[in-house]
Amino acid sequence: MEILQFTTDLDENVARLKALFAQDKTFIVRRLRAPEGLRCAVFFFDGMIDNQAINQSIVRPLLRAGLKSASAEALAESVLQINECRVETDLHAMLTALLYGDTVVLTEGDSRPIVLNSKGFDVRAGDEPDNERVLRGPREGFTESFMTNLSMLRRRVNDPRLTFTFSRYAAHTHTAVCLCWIKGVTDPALVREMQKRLDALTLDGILDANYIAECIRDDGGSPFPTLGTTERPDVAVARMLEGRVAIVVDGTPVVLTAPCILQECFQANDDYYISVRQAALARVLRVAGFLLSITIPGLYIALLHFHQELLPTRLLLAIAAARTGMPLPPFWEIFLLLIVFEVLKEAGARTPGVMGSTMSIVGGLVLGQSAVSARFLSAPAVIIVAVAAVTALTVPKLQSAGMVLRFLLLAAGAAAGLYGLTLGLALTLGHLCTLRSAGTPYLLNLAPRVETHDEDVYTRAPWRRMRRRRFLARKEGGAS
Amino acid sequence: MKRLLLLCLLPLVLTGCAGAPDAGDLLPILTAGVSMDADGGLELTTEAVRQEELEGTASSTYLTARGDSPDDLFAQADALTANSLYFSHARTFIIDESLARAGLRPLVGSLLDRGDVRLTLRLAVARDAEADDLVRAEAVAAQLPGEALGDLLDLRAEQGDLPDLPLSAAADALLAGADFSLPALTLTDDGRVLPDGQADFRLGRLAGFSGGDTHA
Repeated sequence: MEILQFTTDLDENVARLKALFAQDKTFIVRRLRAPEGLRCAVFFFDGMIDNQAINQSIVRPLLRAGLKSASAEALAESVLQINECRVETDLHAMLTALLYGDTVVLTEGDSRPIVLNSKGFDVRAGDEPDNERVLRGPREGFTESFMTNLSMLRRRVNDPRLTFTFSRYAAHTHTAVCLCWIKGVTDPALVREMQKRLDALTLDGILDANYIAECIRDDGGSPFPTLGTTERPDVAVARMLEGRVAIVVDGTPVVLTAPCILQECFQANDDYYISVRQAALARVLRVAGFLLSITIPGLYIALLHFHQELLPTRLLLAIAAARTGMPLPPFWEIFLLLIVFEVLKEAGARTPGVMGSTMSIVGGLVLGQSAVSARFLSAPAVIIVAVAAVTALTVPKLQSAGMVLRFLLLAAGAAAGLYGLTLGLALTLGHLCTLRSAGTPYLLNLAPRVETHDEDVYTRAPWRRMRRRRFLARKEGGAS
Repeated sequence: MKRLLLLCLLPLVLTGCAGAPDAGDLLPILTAGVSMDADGGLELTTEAVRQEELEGTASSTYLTARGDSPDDLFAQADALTANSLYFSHARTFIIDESLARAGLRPLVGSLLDRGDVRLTLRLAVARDAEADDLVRAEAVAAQLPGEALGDLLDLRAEQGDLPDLPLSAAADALLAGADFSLPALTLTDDGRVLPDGQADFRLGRLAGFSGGDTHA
């Protein structure tokens, strides 16, 4: 940012600020001269401020102050009628505030600007996020508004120990980032570690939480998420209550949480809002669905090429009948179908609602049916890929990992049958064992089973039996 | 990134399934029978199952091969069709009385040498009937004959009416030189296959039959 210096000459200061934003037509300068002689200038950006607040709480009081002249402190303390008002000596901070919707007031005879909170830009309502819908439970979701997001957290945790640490990162966007945690619950070492990682950011711009996530997460090459994300304030708070930190980034509804462990990928928001038995069943289905989605293509190829003896006679006959006259070997059938599925998924995600559903029907149903009828593809291959596709949706947080593993295990199964598949799964498990998230083992509570807190791992315990401080939480008042 | 891409592509290049047989290349066998003629020549009759269309039903096809020895017999059988005969789903292997009297050791040895024969394969001896006729006999229920016969033998063995001696146990007994018994099968007048007592083996050769409803 350009170096700016103010003097006690108001005209000079106005000229300097105008020169700084000469190309910006949204930059507004309002000069004021009170009947008694007080001269001020009000600076703000059109569209980012609350006009009513400026008119009623800044302009009107200044014109009616009845002063010949006044220092910045005097104006801030006695004249300006706005809730947040400060004399700012750091011009860099003043410019950042101005660019973020605050109003700056300069007065004749004082080089120090007054910064007033007059933000008034439009924000989206906190609707329920599409990718984290629940059948029962809170419907509120984070928005792109930084302060609104923080207020959602504060509203849920009425405890002075809820701590927010603010910083701004990125050379050009100066994006506000807030590290949130609960004192006494979160390990201070974790807070220091995350703050250290944030401070090491060297980005030019941050437009979404993922910019930060990719920079601060552990083992960036792993397909498994080592940093949690959520768009729901209730989830963010629940994770903080378990000893995690939350990172709120301005301009995005996505809040990061750390550490992230494997078990939370299989947890859904609904688990905590519905009955224990229903939640337990749903969680088991999610685990089974994920395992099925990554192994079934590889298992099909392994059985078809190397272990036909494991198929029941009738099933073998049916598959053989379906495969008669097929131009492609089973491996390439499955491989190409998986690619087509990924393409359809990508196209569906980028297509507007109505067209998206039309494309799903055309792409998934019509194309699949036609390919089988025309004997380009065998029906079992379509069924296998459809099962893999549907079961993959049960664990949205592991979609990326699921996709990578599906292809790798398919290749492993095709290379060495069930032995290859087993080796692939063993290597995956080995990789999971080496993963850590912000110093926490990724398989915490799963392996190694040391100090296991398993009330919320495989199934959820009823709330009355749930431990107060769960797996990540440090002992109250004690060391971590 | 390049390393990751190579790592992803490497398993595809290394996939060994390119040369492996596909399920469609196999001709599953449900039942097989071996007979021996007067000159010592062997004849293998197999009931292979095939389903032409996914919506259709499976049907049996009978294939016959001749050979001088069990090894030769299986080699000739494998050469019968472009598809490999696949014995993994075979449930019953019927042995002619004359071959059983000559000794089971070479035949069992050949069966064990094949990689696709299950150790749970049931051996049975044809009693007052040709093994070929027993293999070709129709099933009473709307079932594949080989499946019906396998189910029947399993049921009787479970009930304790027949010796429960699969290939693995028979091979053990042969190697140990112990006496053992195999189920005996006969053909009824209306063309059905029925268990009919047991074939008793001594020193690996059929010594005689015992029990059986039709020989009571």
